[in-house]
Amino acid sequence: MKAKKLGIKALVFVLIAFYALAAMAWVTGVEAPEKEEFELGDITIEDNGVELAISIDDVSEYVTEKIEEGIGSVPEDVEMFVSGAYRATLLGISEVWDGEVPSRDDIKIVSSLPEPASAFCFQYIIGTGPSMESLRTENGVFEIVLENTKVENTSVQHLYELSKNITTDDWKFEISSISTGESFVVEIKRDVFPEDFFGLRGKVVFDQMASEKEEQEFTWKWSDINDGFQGFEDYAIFEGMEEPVPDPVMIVALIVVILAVIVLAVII
Amino acid sequence: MMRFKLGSAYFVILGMITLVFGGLEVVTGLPGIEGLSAGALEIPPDLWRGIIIFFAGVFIMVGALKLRNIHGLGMSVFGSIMLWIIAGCDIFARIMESIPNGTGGLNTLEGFLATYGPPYSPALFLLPLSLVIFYFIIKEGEK
Repeated sequence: MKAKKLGIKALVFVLIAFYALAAMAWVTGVEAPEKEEFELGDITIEDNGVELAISIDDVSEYVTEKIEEGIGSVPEDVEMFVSGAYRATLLGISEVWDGEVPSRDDIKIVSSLPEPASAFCFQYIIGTGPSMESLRTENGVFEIVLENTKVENTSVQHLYELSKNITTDDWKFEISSISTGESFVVEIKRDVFPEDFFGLRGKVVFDQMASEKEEQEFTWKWSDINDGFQGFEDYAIFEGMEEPVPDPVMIVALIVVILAVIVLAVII
Repeated sequence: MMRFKLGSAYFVILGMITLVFGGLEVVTGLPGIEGLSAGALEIPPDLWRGIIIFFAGVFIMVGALKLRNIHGLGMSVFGSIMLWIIAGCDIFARIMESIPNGTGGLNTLEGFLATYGPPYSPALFLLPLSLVIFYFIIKEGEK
C-alpha cells in the first residue's frame, strides 16, 4: 500500500515537473545549441609537394564518366560503392598517417571488393585511374586481391562481371604507407547491409528479373546504405571503431534524478 | 446531478477533440502525406499512434454519454488510459532525450530545457485535460 502511494506520488511529481519544464521552455523560447553532426570532409593528399583536396563529388564525377565509357550505362547503385570506398580511404589515411597529409606516391590500397566503381574511386585518389595522366605527377599503388590472388584484369567489364557475386565479406580494404610499411585494414560492418541485400542487387542489376516492388525496395536500401556512408560516424560503419562511452557524470546525473524523484515523492 | 451533466458535456467535447486529432494523425501517417504543425502543436505522422488516439477519443466520448453509469465511466476511463499511454511515451522520450547530449556526454542546461520546448503532440495537450476523470472516479467510489 505504501509502495503504491509512493508510486502515485512519484508519477504525479514527474507529471508536474514535466509540464513546469515545458511551460518554462515554451515561455522562454530557449533553443538547443546545435549538435555537432558528422561532416564528410575532403581527402587531402600531396602530389609532388602540392596539396590536393579531393571531394566525394570529384570522385563521383570521375567514376560515373569512366563506368559509362566502359559498359555504356551507369548502374543505379554506383554512388553507394563510391561512398563506401571514399569513407574507407578517409578512415585508412587518418589511421595510418594520423593527421598528417600523405604523399600520393606513399599510399597503397589493397581492396577485396571486385567492383568497378570502388576501384575507380581508389584509383582516382592514388592517381592510377585511366586518363589521369594530366591530373597527377605521382601515383601510389592500387590492387584488388581475391583469396590471396591479385586480380590482373581490372577492366570495367571484368570487374562488373565479378561484382555479380560480391557479399558483405568483401568490403575490406587495406590502406598502407609504402615508406613505413604501416597499414590499417578498414572493414565495413556486416549490419550496414540489410539481409539478402546482395541477392536483391543481383536480381535487380544483373538478372533484371525483379518486380517493380523489388526494384523500388533495392533503390531504398542502397540509398539508405549510401546515406549511412556519407553521414554516419565511423563507429557505426566500420568494424573495430569504438563508440564514445557515456560520460560517468551522465550516469551519476541519471541516478541523482531518479533518487530526487523518489525522495521528493516521499516528502510530498 | 449537475456535475455529472457538466462532466458528460466536458468529456463529450474532449472525446471529440481527441478523436479529431487521432484522425489527423492517421491521415498524416498515410504514405505521401506530411505531418502538420500549427504554433506549438505538431501532429506526428504516425498511423498506429493515430489509430490509438482516435479510438481513445471514441471511448471517452461514448462513455461520457452515460457518465453516471459505471459502464459509461469505465469506458471513458479506458479511453483516457489509452491517451495516457501515448502521452506517457512522449513524456518518457523527452526525459530520456533531455539528459544526454547525443555524443556520450551530459546535456547543457540550455539543451536540457530546450528538449521540453515546443512542438508538442496533441496527446501532451490532452493529457492534463483528461485527468478530470479522476474526480468522477472518486465520486463513483463515494457512492
